Amino acid sequence: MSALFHYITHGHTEGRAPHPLFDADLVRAQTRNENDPLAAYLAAMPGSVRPHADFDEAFVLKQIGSELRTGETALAAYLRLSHTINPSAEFDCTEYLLSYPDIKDLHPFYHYIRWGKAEGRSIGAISKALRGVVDEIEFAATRDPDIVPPYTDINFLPKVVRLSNKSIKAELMAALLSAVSPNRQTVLYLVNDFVAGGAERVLANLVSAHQRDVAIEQVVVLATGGVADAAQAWLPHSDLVVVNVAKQVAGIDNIREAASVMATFLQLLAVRAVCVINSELGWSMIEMHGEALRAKTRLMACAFCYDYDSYGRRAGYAWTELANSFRHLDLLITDNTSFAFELKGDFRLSDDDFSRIKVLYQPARDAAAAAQPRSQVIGSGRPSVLWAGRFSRQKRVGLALSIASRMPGIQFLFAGGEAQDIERLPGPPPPNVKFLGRFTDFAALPYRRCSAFLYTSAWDGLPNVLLEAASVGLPIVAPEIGGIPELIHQDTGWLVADHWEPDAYVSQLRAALEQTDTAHRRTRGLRDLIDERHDPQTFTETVRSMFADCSRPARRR
Amino acid sequence: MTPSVDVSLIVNLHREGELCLPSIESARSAIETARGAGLTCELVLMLDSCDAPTREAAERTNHGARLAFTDCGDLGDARNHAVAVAAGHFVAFLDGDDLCCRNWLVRALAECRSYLSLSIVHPQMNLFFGRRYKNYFWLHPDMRHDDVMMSRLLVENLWTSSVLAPIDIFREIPYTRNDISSGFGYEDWTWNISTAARGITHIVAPDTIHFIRRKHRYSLMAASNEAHVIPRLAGFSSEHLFDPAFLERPLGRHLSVPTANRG
Repeated sequence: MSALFHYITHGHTEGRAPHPLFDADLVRAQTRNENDPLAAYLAAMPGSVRPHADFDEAFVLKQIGSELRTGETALAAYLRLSHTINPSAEFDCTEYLLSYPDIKDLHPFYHYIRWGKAEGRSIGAISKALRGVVDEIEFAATRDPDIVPPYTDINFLPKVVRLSNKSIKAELMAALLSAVSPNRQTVLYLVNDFVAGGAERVLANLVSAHQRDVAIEQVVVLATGGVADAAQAWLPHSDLVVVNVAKQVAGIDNIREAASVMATFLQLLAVRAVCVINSELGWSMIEMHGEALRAKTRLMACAFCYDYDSYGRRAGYAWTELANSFRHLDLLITDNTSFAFELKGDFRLSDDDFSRIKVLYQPARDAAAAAQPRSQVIGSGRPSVLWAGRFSRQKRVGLALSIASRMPGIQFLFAGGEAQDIERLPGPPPPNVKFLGRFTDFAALPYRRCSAFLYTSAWDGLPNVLLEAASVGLPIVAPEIGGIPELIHQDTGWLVADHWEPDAYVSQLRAALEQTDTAHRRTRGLRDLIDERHDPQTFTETVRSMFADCSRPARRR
Repeated sequence: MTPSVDVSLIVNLHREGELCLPSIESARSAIETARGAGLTCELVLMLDSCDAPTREAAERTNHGARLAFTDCGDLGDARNHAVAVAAGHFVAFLDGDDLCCRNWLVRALAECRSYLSLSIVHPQMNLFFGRRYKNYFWLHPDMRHDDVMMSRLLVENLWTSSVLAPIDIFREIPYTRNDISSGFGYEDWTWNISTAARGITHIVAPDTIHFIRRKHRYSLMAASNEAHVIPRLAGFSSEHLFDPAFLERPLGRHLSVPTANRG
């Protein structure tokens, strides 16, 4: 049985009401009809019967006007339309909403009748406050013409009740405060999220270097821009606070306000250093509040190369943010010398400024997989070439596929893309290509079956994946771009000068696959370079030294 | 020496020019109303690095006010200097281009004295006004009734700088210096945070209103917003702010917060 059917057949005779805003006794009294009061109300002329003592139907109809549909009661129209229509001269819906934000999306008048009245909620706190100061307003208005301009009805001036709105900024602050310990010597990283990319590998390397550093008592990683978490597995599992505040940051009207919250929060921490890695919030914070924060902590950021937009123009934080933030940075960390000098030229840096750019060569992870020397694989069976990276415009998957199509006798293994990435590729891939899917750990790739590593990026710093390929002894063919020549050259691999030409790669790949002795010599040379310059222990000591300098922030001019 | 003055109403002046005239008049009206209610009051015009028009206007309109001068060039320091020269048990501040209501001192003092906990009193309402600005009312929260959370106060200033409080609060928790070129400002917001964190209750006086002038020229607020300054909280005792039990409870309803000495 439906509620309406029950009401019509039984309910009204039992004294039940069909709705909290419908007072059956009141309607009976007005209509002098002892039968079903709902039917009597429905039959009455709109505006002639009050369904509830606090609902002035004539008053409401004046506000609703032509919005009332044929056959519709004023009460039904009232509940259908805006929550800001007042049910009477005494009840201000907007004010009720302002005063009691906890009622959220409920209709203010419905809430008041259903619960608020019994809870003792006031229906006119703001109006009452205003009535209490009317004389003072009028007196002050005689002193200055701008206080109440002529013909202004002060009752209709906007009223701001700050606590009436939920504050996402306060939620962000609460999330930050509740996640960390205030008095521990802290290094804090601001990152976008944990996409499995080169920047996140650098983050993992830096955070790992802080492990067991007695001078640093707390390492905090704040993800401020996204929810990807693949690279979170790269981070050490102990002594690390990871907080994702991307949701709160996204809810704040603009990034500058979020940056101010973050800067205020940092003042409350014993923070030795703040390091920004691809966090828009972090870059904004340094630009806006760098001067203030430098009184408290060391400011660092990482940049590895420019990005490029679809018009071929420079893009990415290194281009759009760094110029406005560099003056506040104590240290800009990059992973290749080439980019450091590129920045020096682009930003017209003095030698003094240039000294604040630190080239920190990343550690090559000493993959246990390297236990099987590459020399056992080179030249045995059908050769395979490994390609690994994100399926992005930067990495030029199309170029790599074009190279593969020119070498049908070679198997190409592509690691990094997912099914939808492959579907978006222009045309079917050549038959000698096999897609391995997304990966987060190079060591899990079938590199033992491969005879060479192919890299085709259009722009880059010094890609970590090359260090990983080098550490397992793969001969590397890579483009002559960014910081790659610092690792790959004629003694360590095969560099491709005309890096937009598939045939140029084909030529170098053939050399790497066919010149076995040269391949042995160059991979050994690469391994020696890795051991010398990308040694994990050296990296850890360098990082500790960089952050040890944080105890006394240096002032710059 | 025990001060014999109940309230020192301090009007901070800098470069307001003739805009200070209605402000001083409103302060004088509040003093007269308070004297009529039996209170002993003094009006102090605190002139900090004043320009000539402001000084001339202040001298022309002082009507028995005490003029105090300083060259600190900072509103926070000027407020502290004013506290140092004030004779009252209670101090009230009014910025030199704002106006207070006539009953301000009487109602604020009554509210402060009647509330058992150490408290800072704000006007219940503000009317923001200015040439070519849209006027609007702004209602101040009262920690006794409203859920004022520290996480909220740290991200937005909930009260204007017009306050009345026991002078010892100002002595124990002085204003910080604004240093806009170094990225710090909002001395009143910083003070609100500091006092709230020390367990002092911010309340409002019923039926009171202040009139807050908005303007671009010589506006510290405009300059602060332009420079993206933040409250200076370094050196601020903040450990309890990180305690979830503290964070989740409205301010004014904590029992274990370190409290400033009662004046």
